[in-house]
Parts: sequence; C-alpha cells; structure tokens
Amino acid sequence: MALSKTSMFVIAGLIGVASIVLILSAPDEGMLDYIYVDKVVDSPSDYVGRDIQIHGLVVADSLEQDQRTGDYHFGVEYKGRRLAVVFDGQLPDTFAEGGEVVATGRLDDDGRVFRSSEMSAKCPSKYEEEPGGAPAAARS
Amino acid sequence: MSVATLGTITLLVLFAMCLTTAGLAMIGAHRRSARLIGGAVQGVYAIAALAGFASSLIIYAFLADDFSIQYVHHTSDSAMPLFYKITAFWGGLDGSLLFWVLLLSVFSAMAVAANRKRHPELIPHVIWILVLIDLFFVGLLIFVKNPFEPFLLEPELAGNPRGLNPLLQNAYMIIHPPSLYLGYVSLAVPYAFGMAAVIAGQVDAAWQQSVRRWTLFSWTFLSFGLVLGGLWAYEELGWGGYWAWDPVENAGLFPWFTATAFLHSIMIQERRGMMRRWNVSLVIISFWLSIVGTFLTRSGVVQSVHAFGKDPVLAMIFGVFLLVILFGSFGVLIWRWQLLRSRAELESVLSREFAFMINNWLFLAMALFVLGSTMWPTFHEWLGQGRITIRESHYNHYMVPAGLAALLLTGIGPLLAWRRSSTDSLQRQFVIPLAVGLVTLVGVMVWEYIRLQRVLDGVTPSVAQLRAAWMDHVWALACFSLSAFTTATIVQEFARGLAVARKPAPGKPPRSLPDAVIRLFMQARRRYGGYIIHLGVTVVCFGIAGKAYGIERKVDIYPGETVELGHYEIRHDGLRATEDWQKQMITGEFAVLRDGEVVERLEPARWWYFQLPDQPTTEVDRHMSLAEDVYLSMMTIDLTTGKTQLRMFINPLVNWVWIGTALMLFGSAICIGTRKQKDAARV
Repeated sequence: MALSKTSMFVIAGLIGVASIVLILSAPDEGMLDYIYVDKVVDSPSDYVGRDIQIHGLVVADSLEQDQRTGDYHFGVEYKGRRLAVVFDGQLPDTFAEGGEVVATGRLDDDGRVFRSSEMSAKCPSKYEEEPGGAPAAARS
Repeated sequence: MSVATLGTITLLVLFAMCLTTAGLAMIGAHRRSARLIGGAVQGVYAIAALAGFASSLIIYAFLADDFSIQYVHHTSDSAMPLFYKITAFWGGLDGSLLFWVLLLSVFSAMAVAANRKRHPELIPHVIWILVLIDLFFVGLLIFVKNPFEPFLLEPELAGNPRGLNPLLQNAYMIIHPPSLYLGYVSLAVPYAFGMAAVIAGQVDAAWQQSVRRWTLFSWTFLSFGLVLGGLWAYEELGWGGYWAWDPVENAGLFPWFTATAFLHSIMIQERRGMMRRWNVSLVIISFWLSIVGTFLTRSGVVQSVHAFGKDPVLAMIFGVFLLVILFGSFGVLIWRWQLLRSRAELESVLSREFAFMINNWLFLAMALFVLGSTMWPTFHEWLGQGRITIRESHYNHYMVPAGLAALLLTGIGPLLAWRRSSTDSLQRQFVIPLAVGLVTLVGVMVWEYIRLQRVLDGVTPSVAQLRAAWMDHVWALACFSLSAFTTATIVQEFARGLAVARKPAPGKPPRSLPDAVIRLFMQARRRYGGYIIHLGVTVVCFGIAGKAYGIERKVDIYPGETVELGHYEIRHDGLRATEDWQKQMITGEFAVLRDGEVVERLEPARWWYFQLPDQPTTEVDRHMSLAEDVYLSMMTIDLTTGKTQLRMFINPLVNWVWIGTALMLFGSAICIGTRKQKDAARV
C-alpha cells in the first residue's frame, strides 16, 4: 500500500506553512544595502531611517576621540564627497587614516552624521591575492 | 634546465596524457576493447606519477629558494621555516590548483586500482570522467595560472621575496586548507562512479558500496576542515566567535550538507532499491558544489573577509565549467530517468524510508539556501539593483530551525522501522526518549527561572519576565531538549544492543561488558559508528546552543582596575613589552576572579611583526572550562597610561563544539574501517 496522497499533501502543507512563517518573520537587518559614501552624501534622504553599510576612505587627520564617551569621530570620503562618522565601538586592528572602511549603522535624520557600532577596515597597503585563509580585513 | 622550464614541460606532458587517456577510455568503452581500456588504466597511473613529479618540483623550488619562479617569490622567502616552505605549495592560487591536480590524480589512480576488477563495465567511464576533470584543472594551470611561471626579467627587479604572511605561519595553515581540499577533491570519485553507473545502465550495480568509503572519507575531511577553520578563527582572530557565515566558510558547508544527505540516502538504495534518482542527483550536486566552493574561494566573485583577489577571467572559466558539469550530468540523468525507477514505494509516513526522504529534502534545502544567500549579493549587483550585504541574522534565522529539524530527525530516523512502524514498535522505541526530552525541557525552563533570579540579585522574577526569558532563548531551550531526546535514542540503542551482545553462547557464562562492546562494533560497525557520529553532532548542537547565553563587553581599563563580566571579575595587572627576532609584543596581564579568588591569569597580547608594521595581530587568551570560556582580546593600548581597550566574552558551552567534533571524527573512523557487505543487512 503506497503512501496516500492525503498524507503527502498534509506533510507538504505543513512544511509550506513553516517556511512561510519563517520567511515572513525574517529580520529586517538580515540584508543591508551597501553604499559608497558619495551616493549617501548626494541623496541622504534615500538612506535615512534604516541600517545600511557605507564604504569609504578615512580622511587623513580627521580621527578624534571624545574623552567623555569614548566615541570616535572621523570623516569618510569617496570621490570627493565627505561624511562625518561617529563610532562607539573599538577600532579594528587594521583601521588607518587613508584606509578603506565599511561601517554598519544609521544615518541621522538630518543626513549629516552617520552613527555606527560595527566596522571592518582594510589595510591601506594594496594586496594582490592573499594566500590561504587569513582575513585581510579585521572586524570589530 | 631550470626548474621553471622542467615544471612547465611536465604540465604540458600531463595535459597531453590526460587527453590521450580520456580518448582511450571513451573509445575503449564504445568499442568494448579491453586493450584500449587497459591502456587508459595505465594512463591514469601515468597521470598520477606526472602530477606527483610536478608537485615535487614545485616543493623543490621552494626548498631550494628558487626565486626566479614568480610563485615562489610571492609566497616564500629564504628565512622561512622549512615546514612553511612546504605548505606554501598550497598557499597561493596557482599552487593550490596544482595541489588539486595532485590529489585528483592520486585519488583517480587509487579508485581505478581498487575497482578495476570489481566493476569492469564502469571503469572506462570512471576514467574518462575523472581524467577530463583533471584536464580542466591542468588546462587552468597551463593557460591561466602556471605555478612554474618564471620572471621574464631579472628576478632582482621584482624586489625582495615576499614570504608567507606571518599571520598564516601557524599549524592551522598546515592542516586546514589541505583537509578541505581532500574533502572537496575526493567527491569527484563518487561522482564519477555514479555517472558511470548511469551511463553504463548498471543501475543495480553495487557502485554505491565502492564509493561509500570515498564519500565518508570526503565527509570526514570536510568536517575536520570546517571545524578547524572555526577553531582557527576563534583562537587567532579575536572577534570571539567561530562561524560568521562568510562566503568562503559557506563554500565548505554546502557540499557537506549534500554529502551528508547522500551518505544516508544511499542506505535506502542498498536496502530497498529506492531513491536511486535522489542518489545520483545528490552525488552530482555534491561534486558540483565542491567545484562551486573552489570557485567561490579563489575567484573573488563574492565579497569575503577571506580577501582572495578578484579574478574575472578565472571566474568566467569556472562558470562555464560549472554549467557544463551541471547540464551534462543532469542531462545524462534525465536520459536514464526511467531506468532509475524505484523498486518499491513509500508505504508509510512512519517509516525509515520516509524519514530519510525528508532528510534529503531538508539537507538539500539547507545547501541551496546557504548557496543562494551567499551568491545573492553578487546577483543583486549584476541585476543593477545595487550592492547589499547579507548579515548573520539572515542565515541564523533560517538555519537554526533547519538545524533543529535535522537534530530531531537524527533522533527519530534510526528508531523508525523499515517500510512501516507498528504502534507497538513506536511505543517501544520512543517512550523513553520522549520522556527524557520533555523532562529536559521542563528542567531547562526551571533553570532559566533560577538563572533569572540570580541575575535579579535574589528578587523573584515575575511571570512576564520569565516568559520573556523563555522566548528570548526559545531556540536554545528547544535545542537542549532535542539534544537530550536524541542522546536518549542513541543511548537506548547502545543499551539494547549491548544487552543482546552480552547474551552468552549456549552453555557458557554471560559475556563481560568490554567483550560485548567489541562484539557490538564488529557485528554492526556501520550502525554503531554512525550512532557515535550522531552523538557527536548532537554534542556540537548542544555547544552551539550556548551562544544564546553569551556575554560580550568592551571596556577601557587601566592597570589596577577591575571590571565585572557575568559572574567573573577581570582585573588588569599590568602590561609588559617584549621583543623577539620576528616581532614586538605587548602582553597584558589579567586576572580572572570568581568570588574574589583568582581562577586563572590570562595574557592576551598584541604583536607587531617587523615585516608588517601596519598590521598588528591580536593574540587572545582564554580560560577554558566545560561550562564556558572566558575570552579576552586587547584592542588598542595606550603605553603612556596603560589604558587598554579590552574585549571580553563569556562563551558558554563552546568547548562542547570541539568535543562533539572529535566524537564525530572518531565515529567516522569506525565507519570507514567497515568491511562492506555484512553490515548492509544490519542497518
């Protein structure tokens, strides 16, 4: 006696429902837009109000630390556009002025300042292919 | 003649040998000519010898500091320790491709030698399939990435030899990549046999028995390589975790999923002649995913913190190869679709066959999900939709429930009867494990209450707070009870098996326990080895669940200060500056205290290699126990004031992940050693 069609439908139905529940309850910040700094500066209203990742180069001589809060303030730029960043985490190992960073966070409502708690940085010196499995970018 | 020239010539000869051998095998199969096939077999051995020779040449070049070869210049220097000069062979892209060729050639020779007499109709097809795959990689070596490429100008103009990044000069670099490569490459053998069986129309052939050991071998090395990568990240990189769903990590995981499904599904084919289409599909997909994995890791198509270079040419070549494999293989499968019909039908939802079928779907879904999510950002960009990043939360949201479903199946599957479980059998099998699972669930819920009370400093938690705690940790609670359930099923199986094994021969006294254990494993090694692997997997899940209770804190701490971390205190006892021939080191001295008593002194450090002054490395230190790790990592240090930015973690249950893995590997070793046929009836 073979497996009845009813059983198959029930099972398939249960799996289907479970999958739909999972998909509908998926976290918002599961997928983030990844934007270069020039686009953010050009049209900040597109990016306000949600978590995004920005990619830019740290502006030389712009790094300061607020002695009271421990937050870091620095500028990131790309293609001439500059954005101010406030970062409350710990700077990754490879953070350097002039180096590339990818910061995760949110743009202030006025679109002027980017607040971030998570950042990864690539060393300013250029690599070709990295041998083996070492990360060239350190994460914080 | 220079090594570079000799090496390149060897590769050219290897290429020609692959072409010839494939041709001999194909024509020999078509004409059923034993002579041509015999020639092809000799060709396979010759290919292995040539690959071995080429590999020894490149290793010689490293040992002899032959910096006229670009690859040696880029990945080695004269001061490097001997061991790392050898491992530099697979350190860079070109060398790693040669390593692939070496492994594939040697495995092909072994597979052909072992199976030549047993499956004469399959061997010609196995040969041309394996050799054509080899041909692709040799072709890559010759036309795109020759590891023997010399400098056209004077090598001195290229500057000093670069040497292997000091970050990579550790034991992990020696073991982790080769283990993964062994896992990837060995999947080619089951694939070749599977395809050969389908092409030759030999669908009842016991090809799956011959390849079971290869698949298990592959699975073992993939498991080992994956976990070793995690351990490496955990011990060396300082971000406190061991898995980040990074594309290169995922590349090792998705073939692992389908290989796991294949290993199980094949039992159904052996026992009942069912799921043959599934098995051929799974073996195709597993092999295909191993190539996808190699491609992802080395082509830079997907953004990853494992920053391998971008290589669009390589990406395109691999892409075409992948399409050819996919369409070719499934084309053959579709051609033989009717022939691969099942011998029997599924009779009941409560049967082992059905459980294994759900298992297949689940693992396939997990593999495709991880693959799709890994590739999605790249496709998103190609479609002009802008670039996105997929975060861990996306993966965890789906993979945690899926993993728990797999854990549940691990408990249920072995306990279901073939064809249909009677009510009696269900009762007998499931009553105790279900009870254990439920008791554990209640137990952990009560423990949450106690924990909450401690966190609130003795105040009784309200119902709302308790419910919030349960909901926050719902997956961990589910995992604990499922782990208990599954462990109970395994213990039950062992207990019952031992009870039977202890039964004396007529007229003799009952056997001793050790004697019974050995009998058990000898009678049904595959089954009990499998149970040990399952136990290992369960323990790993238990270890992963601890993450839900982890703590992370970042502080600025001065020498003499103490900070709280969970139920510990961390005291900064000073900094110490030292130096050796390779690097400068700043080591922090920290005391881990519990209830005022020093539990351990930890010494996390920061190292500045002279070779890489801009790239300090973080050396973590941790206090390990079965219950949890206390993990310290120093970020920036102010030498004038001693102020240290410290990252502290409590990682509960993390060491169970490594213990569980060891169990898995142990169980796997037991299974690989199995002598075939006798066990088939026992599973």
